Amino acid sequence: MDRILESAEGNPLFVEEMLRMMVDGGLLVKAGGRWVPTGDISSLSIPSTIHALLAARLDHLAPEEREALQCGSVVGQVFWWDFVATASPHDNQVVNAQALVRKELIRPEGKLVSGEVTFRFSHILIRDAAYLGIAKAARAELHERFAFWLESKWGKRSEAYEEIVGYHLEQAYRYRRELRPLNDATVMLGVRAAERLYSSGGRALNRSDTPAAIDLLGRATELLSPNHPLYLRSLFDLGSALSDRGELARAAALLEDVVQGAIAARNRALELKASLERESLLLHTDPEGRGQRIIAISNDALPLLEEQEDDSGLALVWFRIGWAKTMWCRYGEATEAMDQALVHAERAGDVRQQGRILLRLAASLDAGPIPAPDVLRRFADLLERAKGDRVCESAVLGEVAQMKALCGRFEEARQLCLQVGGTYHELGMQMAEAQNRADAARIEMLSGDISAAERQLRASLGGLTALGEKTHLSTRAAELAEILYLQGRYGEAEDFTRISEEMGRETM
Amino acid sequence: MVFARKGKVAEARELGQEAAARAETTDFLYLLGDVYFYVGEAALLSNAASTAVIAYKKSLSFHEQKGNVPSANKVRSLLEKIT
Repeated sequence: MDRILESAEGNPLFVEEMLRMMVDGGLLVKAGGRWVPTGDISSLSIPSTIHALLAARLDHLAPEEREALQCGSVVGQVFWWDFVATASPHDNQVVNAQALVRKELIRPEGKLVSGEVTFRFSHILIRDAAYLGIAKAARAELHERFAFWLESKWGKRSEAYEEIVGYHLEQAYRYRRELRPLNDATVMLGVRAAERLYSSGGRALNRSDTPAAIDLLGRATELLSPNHPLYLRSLFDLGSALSDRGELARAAALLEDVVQGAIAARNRALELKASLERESLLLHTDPEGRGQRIIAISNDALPLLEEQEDDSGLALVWFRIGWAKTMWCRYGEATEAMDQALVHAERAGDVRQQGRILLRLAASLDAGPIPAPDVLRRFADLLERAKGDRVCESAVLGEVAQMKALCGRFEEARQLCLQVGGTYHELGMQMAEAQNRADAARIEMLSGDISAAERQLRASLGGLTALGEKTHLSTRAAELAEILYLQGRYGEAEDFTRISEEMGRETM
Repeated sequence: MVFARKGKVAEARELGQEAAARAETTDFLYLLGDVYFYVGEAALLSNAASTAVIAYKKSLSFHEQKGNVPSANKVRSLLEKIT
């Protein structure tokens, strides 16, 4: 026992598993209410690590029990016994399940919504040990079989499992690639995986789950050959997702790849859309002349996309035109462009675009010539449309906060602004979070609390600078200059007017 | 305004006019209201009260158009003081 405790190094799982292995091997039996050894155990071999111990324990199992565990391990810590029964080469699954439960390797998990019987590995390390015990070729086979099982089992409901199916096909593809040169079957396997990951990535984008979208779309592109039609689409969406997260340089590089790929594939519409997105991104970091280029590309793209009846593309182009107009503070024109964009996005059923159009439309209404009380009424409609999209809803609420401040309802405005900032923080949207602090500063300026406004604005400036964002810096610097001036700090105010002027010159 | 506070009134008023001209190319009412407010303040600092009143009235008009109650109130009370 001392030797076991010494090897365990304080890990109770080690002790438990060592004792269970001794029970499995008949070296320890229960007699008279206590456990006693059946012979001399002083020379018993003790594995040096928990991993080696678990592997040794699994090695001592009957082959059909070990294989059942291995099938389950491919699924995860919780697995469907029905899949094990289908995939296992042995046919005595009922005995196996009970035997494995008795040996405390797995335990019943109950039934999922699907009604299927599920089990859970008693410890994640047992699952890992079982998985590591499978040869790579068999792992590939089992991952592919599980993907097929999942899709065939759930039929129409498989959309909910699409990401999981994509993951298992991806694993199968990767193991196949490690084992032999790429052949047609493996390429097809990669495409099947990519299709599902791409589709799941699109859904993640629609629900504003940017980290998941980046992960899924990135994995999809890695599985595809650059010649595959899905590759450029996937790369384009990945660029947009990275831009949402504020990874501007990486997003711009990807979009440039899409432009070049689209030129090579003679896909003019995609080339223009990717160019437009790239220019829009560069507006943040290298603003000079970008606004004009955005309008020029948009003018080229509009007739082509109208001819192709590409509503999603038209929504994108009108959105970017509206955005450029907001850069020049022509909010009435921006509102009209965003209204056009919204019509096309709704026609295309493009949820993600609808979200970001609503967001910018709200900003244009906020700054534009329509009176605050009328804007608040229009916001009620926008909020209704934004329902279910947290980012969009938050953006509109942020603008509602501004309008309420204009109407003199400061406490409501502050609370709303704080709520919106919290959502952005939770969603990891750093750029939006930095902008939210500037919104809070404006509310404080209107309320007359100048030092609170300064605190908020400095936080906003810090956030934008850390992200390498330049488009809004000139405005923020000017706002800070005003705040400093109002506090009689004329020297500091002058410094910030200079910074603002310099940044603004770059933006025009 | 910094120039005006430092006694460089002519430069301040010139800059104010330039800012107003630029702001007039936009329909950003909040900005227009603020710009004319500072044009008025620069004029007031250079003892040009009638110019200041014109600028403040423009500022008030933009803030009222937008329904910007706090800024409109601020400009209105200033106007009441100087007229």
